[in-house]
Amino acid sequence: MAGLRLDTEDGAKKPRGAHIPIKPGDATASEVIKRITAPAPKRMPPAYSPKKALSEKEIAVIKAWIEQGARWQGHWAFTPPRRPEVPAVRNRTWVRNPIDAFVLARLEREGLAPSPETDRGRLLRRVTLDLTGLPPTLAELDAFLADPSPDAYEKAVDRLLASPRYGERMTIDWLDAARYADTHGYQVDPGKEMWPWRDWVVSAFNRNLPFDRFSIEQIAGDLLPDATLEQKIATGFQRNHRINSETGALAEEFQAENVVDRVNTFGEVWLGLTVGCARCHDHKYDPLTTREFYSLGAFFNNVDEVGNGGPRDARGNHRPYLRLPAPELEAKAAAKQQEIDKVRKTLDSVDDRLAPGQRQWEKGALSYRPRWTVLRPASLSADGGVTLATLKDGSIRAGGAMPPSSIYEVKVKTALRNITAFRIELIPDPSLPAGGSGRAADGKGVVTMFQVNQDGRKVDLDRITTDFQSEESELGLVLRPAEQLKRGWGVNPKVTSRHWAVIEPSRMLGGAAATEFTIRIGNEYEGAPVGRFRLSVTDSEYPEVIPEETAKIIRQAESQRSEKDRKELRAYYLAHPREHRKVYESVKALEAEKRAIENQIPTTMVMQEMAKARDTFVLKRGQYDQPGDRVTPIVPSFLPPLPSGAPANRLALARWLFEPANPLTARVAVNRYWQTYFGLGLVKTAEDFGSQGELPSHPELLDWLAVEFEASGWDVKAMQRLIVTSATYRQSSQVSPELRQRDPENRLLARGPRFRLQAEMIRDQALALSNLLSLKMGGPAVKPYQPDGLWEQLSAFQGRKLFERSKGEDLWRRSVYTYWKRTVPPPSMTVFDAPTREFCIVHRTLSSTPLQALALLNDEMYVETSRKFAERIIREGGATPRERLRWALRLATSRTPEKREIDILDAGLERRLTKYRANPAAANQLLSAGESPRDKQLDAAELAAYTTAASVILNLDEVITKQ
Amino acid sequence: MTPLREHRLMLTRRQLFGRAVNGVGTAALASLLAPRAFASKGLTGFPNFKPKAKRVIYLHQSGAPSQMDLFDPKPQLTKRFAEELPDSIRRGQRLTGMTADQKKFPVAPSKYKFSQHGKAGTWFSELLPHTAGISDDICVVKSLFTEAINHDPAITFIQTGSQVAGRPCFGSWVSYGLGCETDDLPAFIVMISRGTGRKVDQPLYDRLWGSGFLPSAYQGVKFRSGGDPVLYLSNPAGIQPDVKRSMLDDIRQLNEINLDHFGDPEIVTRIRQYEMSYRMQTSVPELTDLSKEPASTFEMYGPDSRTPGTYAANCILARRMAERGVRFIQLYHMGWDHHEGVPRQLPPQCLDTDQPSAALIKDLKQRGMLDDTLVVWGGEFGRTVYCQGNLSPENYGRDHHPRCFTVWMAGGGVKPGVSYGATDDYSYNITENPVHVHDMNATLLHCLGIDHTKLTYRYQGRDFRLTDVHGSIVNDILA
Repeated sequence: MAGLRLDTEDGAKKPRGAHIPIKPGDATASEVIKRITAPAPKRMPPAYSPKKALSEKEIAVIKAWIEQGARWQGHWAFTPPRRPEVPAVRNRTWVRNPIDAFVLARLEREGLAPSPETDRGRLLRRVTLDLTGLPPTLAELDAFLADPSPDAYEKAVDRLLASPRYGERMTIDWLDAARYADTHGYQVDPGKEMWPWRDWVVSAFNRNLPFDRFSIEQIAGDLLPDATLEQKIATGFQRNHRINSETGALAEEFQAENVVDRVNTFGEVWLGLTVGCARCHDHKYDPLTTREFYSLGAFFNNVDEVGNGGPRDARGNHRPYLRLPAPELEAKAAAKQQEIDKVRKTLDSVDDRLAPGQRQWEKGALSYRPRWTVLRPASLSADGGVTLATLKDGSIRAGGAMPPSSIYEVKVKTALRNITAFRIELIPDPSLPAGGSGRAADGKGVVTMFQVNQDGRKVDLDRITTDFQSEESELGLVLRPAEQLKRGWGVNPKVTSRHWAVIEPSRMLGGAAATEFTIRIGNEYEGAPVGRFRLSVTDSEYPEVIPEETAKIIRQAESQRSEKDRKELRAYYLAHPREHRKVYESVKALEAEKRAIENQIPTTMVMQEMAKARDTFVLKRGQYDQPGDRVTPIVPSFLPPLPSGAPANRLALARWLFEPANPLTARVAVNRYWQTYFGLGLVKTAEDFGSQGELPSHPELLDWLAVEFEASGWDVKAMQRLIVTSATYRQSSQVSPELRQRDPENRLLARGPRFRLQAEMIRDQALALSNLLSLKMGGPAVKPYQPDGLWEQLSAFQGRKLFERSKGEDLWRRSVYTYWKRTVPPPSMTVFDAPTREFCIVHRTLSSTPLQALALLNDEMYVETSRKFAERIIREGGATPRERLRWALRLATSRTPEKREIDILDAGLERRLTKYRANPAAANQLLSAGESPRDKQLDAAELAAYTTAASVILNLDEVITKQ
Repeated sequence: MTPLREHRLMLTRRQLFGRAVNGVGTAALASLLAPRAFASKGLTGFPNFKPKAKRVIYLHQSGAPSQMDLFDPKPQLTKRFAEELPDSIRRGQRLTGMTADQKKFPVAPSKYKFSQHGKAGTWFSELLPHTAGISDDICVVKSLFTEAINHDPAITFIQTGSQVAGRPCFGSWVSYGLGCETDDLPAFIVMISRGTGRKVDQPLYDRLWGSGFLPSAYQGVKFRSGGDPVLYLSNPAGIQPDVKRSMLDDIRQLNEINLDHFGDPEIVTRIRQYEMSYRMQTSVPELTDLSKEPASTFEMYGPDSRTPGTYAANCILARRMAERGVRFIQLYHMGWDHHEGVPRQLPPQCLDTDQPSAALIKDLKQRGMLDDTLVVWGGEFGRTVYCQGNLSPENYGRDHHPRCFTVWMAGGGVKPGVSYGATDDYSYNITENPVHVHDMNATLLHCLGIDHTKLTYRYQGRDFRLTDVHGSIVNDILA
C-alpha cells in the first residue's frame, strides 16, 4: 500500500487496483476495515509497530462512519464559526444567558442536572478573585449580602470590571503568553526594562481596548498610520522573547531563534496553533508546512536587531528601543549640558595658556621622575590573626597567622595636596620565606585588592601600572575585585627583587591641612598574602612611566611627526598639568551627572522595520546555517489569504487575524477567557486547535461565544461579564461522588469551578487580608522578599547582579510588578506553578507539593502577612477570641464560619497562647519577621498566638482555592 | 486521621481510579494511590522491563572539561605544537563566535602525561589519579557528540534532548516515569557547587532541572548548602516545633471539614502535602547532617568533603540520598569552561572532582549499591585541539567543541572496565563508535528499565520524549 494517504479524501476513496481503501456506505468492501480487523500478523497496525493498536470501540466507530457514507470534512477549527441556534432546553428557568442554554442542553442530553447556585458570599469571593485577583473586603461582602435587588450580582460584576485591579489581574495571564520578564534569559540573563510595555497592557485592559486593537497594536502598532507613542510601546510584545548574549553565540543563529520564537508565540496566542513542529520538516497530519512556517517568519524577520543582542543601553535594552518622553529629566540634562559647555570653554583657555610650555616639557619628559612621599602608617590592622609591623623605612611587614584571606588596613595622614597617584612597593625581606616579598613558601605574595577611602568614602581609582607582573596576574581585579575570582597583582617568579605598582585616582586628592586615607590591601589569593610592602603618594603632574607610544613620538624630531602624532602628544601633555586637571575634573563630574540623569530616562524595546527587508529563507531541518529557498511573507494556505492590496507586512498580518473569514482568532481568544474561569478551556488544549489538539467539549457554545465576541466589536469586558454572569459560572462547586466519578474534570459543567488560586493571587490575597497591600500601579519592577543567595548561587558575568530587596511599600506591591529573573524566577511564585517566562505559555499546570506548604508556612513574607493579619484580627475582629476568629475566617472565606471551625481555631489559639506566655522571647522573635512595623500596643504573647492563628487561616485549602 | 475518615478517603480514591484522568489533578490523583508527595508511583507499565538500575546519580561537569587533557591522549601532537590545524580535520565545520574570527588555529598539545589503567588499559591523564584507580568499575565513552556549540543550548540539549528551552529535563522524565521510592524526600534533587579552577564561570539556570510541560511536581528540588537546604524548610524564628505541630493539626482538621463539604480529592492531597512538609523538616536535616559520618568517609572523599557546598560534600550527600531512595540525584559542578589558561584552571577543577567522584563509586560499591545505581560523569561538549588565545607549551586555551567529548558511566547496567569509541589524531572528529547525546540518553533510560520510545507525554498535540524522534541504545556498553 505504498503511497496510500488516508488523510486526504482523494487518497482514501480512490480505487487502488483491485481495492478501495474506503468505500462510502460499505464497510466490508473497504480495504481499510479488512486490514484493521485482519488476524495477526496481517492486522494493522502490526504488533511490532510502536503505534497503538485500535480498540474494538474505535474500529466500530470507523465502521459506522463508513456505513453512514464516510462524509469528509475539513478540520473543524479551520472553518469560520457561524452563530449557532441557541438550543431549546427543558429547564428554561435555569438559563440566565445563552451560555447556559448550550451547557444545559448538553447536560440534559447526558441526563444530568446543573448544581444549585453557590451561596452568595462564596459567589462574590469567586468572582472578585477571578476579575481582580483579590478577595472581597468585608464592606463589599456585607453590601452585597444586604443588596436585595435582583441585579445585585450584576452590579457587583460591573463594579469589579471598573476597578483598576481588573487590568492588573488580566495582565498576569497575558504576561505568561507574552513571555514577559525583567531579564533577557539564556545563560547570561542580564537585566532589561520592558515595564512600559507591561503598563500599556494593564492600561489596555482597564480602558477596555477592544481585542482587535489590543492585538493589532501589539503586533504592528508601529506600522499604523501616524502611530502614537503608545501604539509603538505596544509592539514590545514581540521583543519580550529571550535574547542570547552568551559570548560564543552566533548572531545569525540567534537571529533565527528570535524569529522562531516570534512565530511560535504568534501562532499559539492568536491562532491557537503550535506551529513550532513545522520548523524542521513537514508533518503528515499538520496542515502547516515548513515553508509556510518560515513564510510566517518573514513577517517578523525585518527588525533592525542584532541576533545575539549587541550593545545594551543603560536600562539593559537591545536595539531597537524607544526612549520615553521624560520632560523633567530632559530639561535637567539640557541644563547640565549648558554647564558643561561653559566649563569646557574655561578648559580651552587653560590649554591655550599651557600650550607654549610643551616644548620645554618634551625636553625633560623622558627622564622625568615623580617625587614620592612615603606614607608612614598612623595605624595598622589586619583580620584573621595577621600581625602588621612598621619598619624603619616606613614599610610594613606581615606576620602571625596565615588565613585564606586577610585584609590589611593602613591608616595614613598626609599634608600633601593635589595628589595624583599612590604607589605600593613589594619589598623582598630576608625574614620572609625564600627571601621574597610574599608569605607563600616560594616567596609569592599577591595583592588582590587596593582600595582607598577618604572620609569613609571610596575613592574612585582609575588606572594601575606596574614595573613587572606575573603571568597569571589580573591587574584589572586589583581596583575592581570580582566576588568569586580572587586574583590580582603578583610578581613571581621575581619575588626577590623590589617592584612597584602605581595607582592613579580619577581625580586629584588632598587639600586639607592633613588628609586621612584608609588604604585597604586585599590578600585573598589563597596561600600567598603580601609579606612586606610600602605605600607612597605623589603630587607630581606626570606619572612614573610615560606610555611607550607617547615616548616614541617624543623621540622623533618634530618635523617627522604625523598630524595624528602631534595631536596625541599635545593631548598627553595638556592632560597632566594641575591647572588642566582641576578644570577637567569638573567637566568629568558634570558629564557623569548628565549621564546619570539621562540613564534614568526609561526606554522600552519595540518592533521597527528596516528600510530594506532582510531576506528570509527556509532553514533546512531548522538549522540557521542551512538556508534553503527564499520565502516572502505569506499566511498558511489552509487559512484565508491576506486581504489583497495591502503590502504583506506585520500590519496586514495583524489585520488579517480580524477578518471575518479568519476561523481561529475569536475562538482561540474566548477559549482562553473560558479557561480563566473554569480552569480548562472548552478546547482543553488551549494552545492547539489543530488536528492533534482536543475537540471542543461544547462546539456550538464555543462558536456562539466566538461570533458574539466579534459582533460585540471585540469587547473584552463584555465577554468577561457574559461568562461570569451565566448560571453556569454561578453553580456551587460541591460535587457528589457519583458526578465526580462521571466527570472528574468538570468538562460537562454540571458544577462550578474549583481549583487552587494562581501564584500571584495567593500572595496578593495574603497582602490584602493583612492590609499590607500597596495599590501603587506601574513603573519599574520591584523585588519583594526572597531567601538570600538564590541569584548568587547560579548567575555569573553581566547577569551576576546581586539581589537587592526593595524597601518599604515596594515589598507589598501586587505580584504583577514582581521582578522576574528568568534563570532564577521568584521562588514564591514558581513554587505555585508560575512559569519561568522563557517562552509562551497559555495554560499553567497546577500542582500540589509539600514545597508549597513550606512556603506558605515559613516564608518571611507569609510570616509578616500573618502578623499584620493578626493585628487586624485583634483590632477589628471583636472583643472575644471566638468573635475575632469568626471575623477572620469570614474575611478569608467570605462565608459564615461553622461552630466546629471556631472550636478548632479557638482551642489552637489558646494552646499556643499558653506557650507564648511561657516563652516571651519566642513571641518577640516571631513578631520581628518582615519590615513592616509591629503594633507595639498589642501584647506580644497574644499577638504571637493570633499570628499563628492567622497563619493557619492563610494556609487553609479553602483560602488558597477558588471554590 | 480517624479510621473512619481514612475509610472515606479510600472510597473517594477507589471512585477516582475508576476512570483515567488527564491534566489538572493527575499528579494529585496518582499520589493518592501511593501517598507520595513529589512524584507519585510512576506510570503504569513502567519500568517497561526489569531494570538494572533503580536510581541515577548524574555528575554534570558544567562548562565542558577538556577531553584531550583528561581522557583522550594524542601524544603524537607534541611534535605538531603550534602547527595549523589541517583543513582535512577541520573540514570547514562551524566554530563559536569566540574563535570563528581567529586567523590561526594552532595545535595546542596537552601538557599532561597519560598512562593506561585497569584491565581495559583505559587512558587517564595525571590529573585524574583517583578516577584512574576505578577504571575497572567504569565505562569511559570517548566518542560522545552533540549538536550545540554554546553552553546554554548544549547543556539544555544534553539535559532535555532539545536545544530550545521548554522540555522536561532527564530527572523530571525519570521521576515522571518511575515515581518516587521515598515518602519523606523528593524524587529528584539537584545540588550545585562552584569550581575552584574558574570561579566565575558559566552560570546555571532553574530551567535545567525544570519539568517543562510535565506537571511541576516532577521538577528537581534544589538543595542548597547555605541557609535552608530546601527553600523555606525551617520554621520561622519564634515558631517552635510544638507550635508548628499544633498549627498543622488545626490546618488538617479545618481542611477535613472542607473535604466533608466538597469531596474534592485535591483537598486530600493538600492534607498529605502538609504532613509531608512536616516530615521533611526532620528528614532533610537528617539527610544533610554529615556529623555522624565516620572520619573514614571524609578521608575517602577528600579534604573538601568537610566543607558544605563543595563538590566533595555533595558527593557524600548524593550517596546518602541514594540510600534513602531518592530516584534522581543531579550534581552540577561549575568552572570547566577553560578558554584560556587551561594549565592554570584545569588542575584545580580536577582536584575538586577527581577524588570525590572516585570515592562515590567505591563507596557505593562497598555498600552493594553500585549494582542498582547508575552514575554518569561528563560535561555538555568537549574542547578544541586548537588554541584559543596565546599559545605556549605551558599555557593554552581551548574553545567549545561539540564534535567529540568524553563521558564516563558506572553502575547499574553499564559494562565496567570499558573504554569505548575513538577519535582522530587531533581529538577533533570521531573515528569509531560515535554516540550521539540521544543515544546516550536512550542507553541510560534502558538501564533504568525504560524503553525510551515509550516514555512519552502528550503536549501541544504531540507525544514528546527525552530522545525526540532519535536515539539508539549502545548495546556494546551494556552489562
